[in-house]
Amino acid sequence: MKTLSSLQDFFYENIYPDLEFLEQKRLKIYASLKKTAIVLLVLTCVAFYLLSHIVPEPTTLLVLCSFLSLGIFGFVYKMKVSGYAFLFKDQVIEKLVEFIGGTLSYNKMGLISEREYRKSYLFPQKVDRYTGDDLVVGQVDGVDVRFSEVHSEIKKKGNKGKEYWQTIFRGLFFIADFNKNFKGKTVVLPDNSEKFFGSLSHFFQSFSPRGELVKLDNQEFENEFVVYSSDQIEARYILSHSLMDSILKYKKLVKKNLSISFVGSNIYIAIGFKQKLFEPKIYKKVTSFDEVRYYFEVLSFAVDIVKHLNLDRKIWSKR
Amino acid sequence: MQSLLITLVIIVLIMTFLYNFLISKKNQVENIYASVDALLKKRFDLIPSLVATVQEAMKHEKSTLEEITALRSQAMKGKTSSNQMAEIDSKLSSLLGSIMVAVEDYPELKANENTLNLQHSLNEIEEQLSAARRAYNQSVTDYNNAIEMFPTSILANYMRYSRKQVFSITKSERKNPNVKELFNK
Repeated sequence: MKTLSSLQDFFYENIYPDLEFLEQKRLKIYASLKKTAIVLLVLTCVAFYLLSHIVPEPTTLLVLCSFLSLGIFGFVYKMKVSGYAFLFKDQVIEKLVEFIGGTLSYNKMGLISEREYRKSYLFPQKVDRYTGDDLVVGQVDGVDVRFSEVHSEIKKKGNKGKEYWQTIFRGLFFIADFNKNFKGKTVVLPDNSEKFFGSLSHFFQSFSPRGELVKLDNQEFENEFVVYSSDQIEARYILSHSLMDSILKYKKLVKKNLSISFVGSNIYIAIGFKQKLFEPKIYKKVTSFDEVRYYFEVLSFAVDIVKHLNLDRKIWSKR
Repeated sequence: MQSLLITLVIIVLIMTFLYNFLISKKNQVENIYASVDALLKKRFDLIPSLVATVQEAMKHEKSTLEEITALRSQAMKGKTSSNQMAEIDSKLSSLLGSIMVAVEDYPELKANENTLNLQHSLNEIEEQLSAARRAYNQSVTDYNNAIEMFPTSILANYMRYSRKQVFSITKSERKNPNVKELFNK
C-alpha cells in the first residue's frame, strides 16, 4: 500500500509540473465561462425588455428565452469542460494509477461492461441507462482486478406521467478473481432493517426473491449486512470468520455502502458514491494537493480490497 | 354462526401456517444434515489412505492412528444418530488435526507427494465441513427456537418434536486462522 508521504513526493515530482499548465487552462476556461454567462444574462435581459414592450402577453416567450439561454450555457460548458477533463485524466488520474502500482492500466473511456454488471447479481433491477468511465485493469499482488465508475439508472414515471431517471447504483464497481469456482450465488447487501427491527427483520428478509436468507454467526456482520445465497453451506464456506472480519474492517475504512457478491470464480464489490468520480471541478484550483489526495484515496479503496480481504493469499486453489 | 365459522377458518389457517413452519424447520435441519453427512463420509473415505501413507513413518502416533481407524469403523458400522455423529466428528477433527501437525516433524512425509495431496484434500474437506457445521448449527438453533417458543411450542409438543444437539465447534475453528503461520509451514 502506498503511503500519503510517498504520494506527496510523487505529486511534487511528477504531477505538479504539468498541473501548472493545466491550471492556466482551467483559469482561461473559467474566465471564458464567466464571460459567456454575463453575455447571455445581458442578452436575456435585453430580450425581456424588448419583448415586454412588443408582445402584449410576453410570459411564455420570456420563459422560453430563459431556457434558451440556459441551454446555450450548458452546451458551451460541456464543450469547454470535457476537453479539460480529458486532459486532466491523462495528466493526473493516469499517473496516479501508475503510482498505485502493480501492472495496472488506465482507460479513461472504458468501463465495466453491462454484461459483467448483470452477472454480479448485485442489482437485479432492469437497467434503462448504463454509463461509466475510468476503467482500471491489471494485477494487484498477483490477483486479476478490474474496476471502473458505473452509473446505472431506470426510467420511472411520476404522478403526472412525467418521466424521470432513478439511480440504481452509482459508484465504483470492482471485480477480482477469487481463485475458487462457486457452484451457487452468494450476495452480501447492506442491511438497513436490522438496526430498526432487530431479529424481526429476519422474518421479512426471509421472503426476499434474492435467495435463501443466510444467518451468520457474527452479530456485528449481521447488523451491517444481509446475506442471501442459493447454497447455505457454500455461503458459510466463502464467508469464513476471518473474511467477515475483513469485510467489516474494510467497510469502516471506506465509510460507504458496500454490496458484495460471489459468482462464478469472481468477487464483485460495488462501493456507492453520491457524486461522479475522477472529474475535475472547474471552479476549484487544480494544483491543490488535497484534490489529488482525494482521487488517490478513491483509487486506493479499490486496490486495497485485495490486501484487506486477503485475496492475494490463495488459501483455496482451483484444483 | 357466521362469526364462529370465520373464527374457525382463521384458527385452521393459523394452525396450518404453524404446522408448515415447523415442518420446514425440521426439513431444513435434515437437508443440511444430509450435506454434513456426505462430507463426513468423504472424510471417512480418506482415512484408510491417510493411515496407509503415514503409519510406516509415524511410529510414535500409532495409538492416535488406531483411534482414528476405530472411530471411522464406529461411524460406518450402521445407523448412527445425528448426536452420536456430532460426537464422533468432534473427536475425529481433533485427532486428524494432531496428525496433520505431527506430519511436520517427519521430513520424508512432508516431501511425499501422496501425503501432500491427502493433506490438501483433508484441508479442503475440513473447510467445507466447518461451513456445513455452521449451517447445520444455525438450522438446529432455528428449529430449537421454533419448538420452544410460544405458540409453536404447543404444536411441536403435540408433534413430539424434541431438541436437537448442535455440532460442537472446535477451539481451532473458533479462532481466526493465522494465515501467516499456515504459509510459513
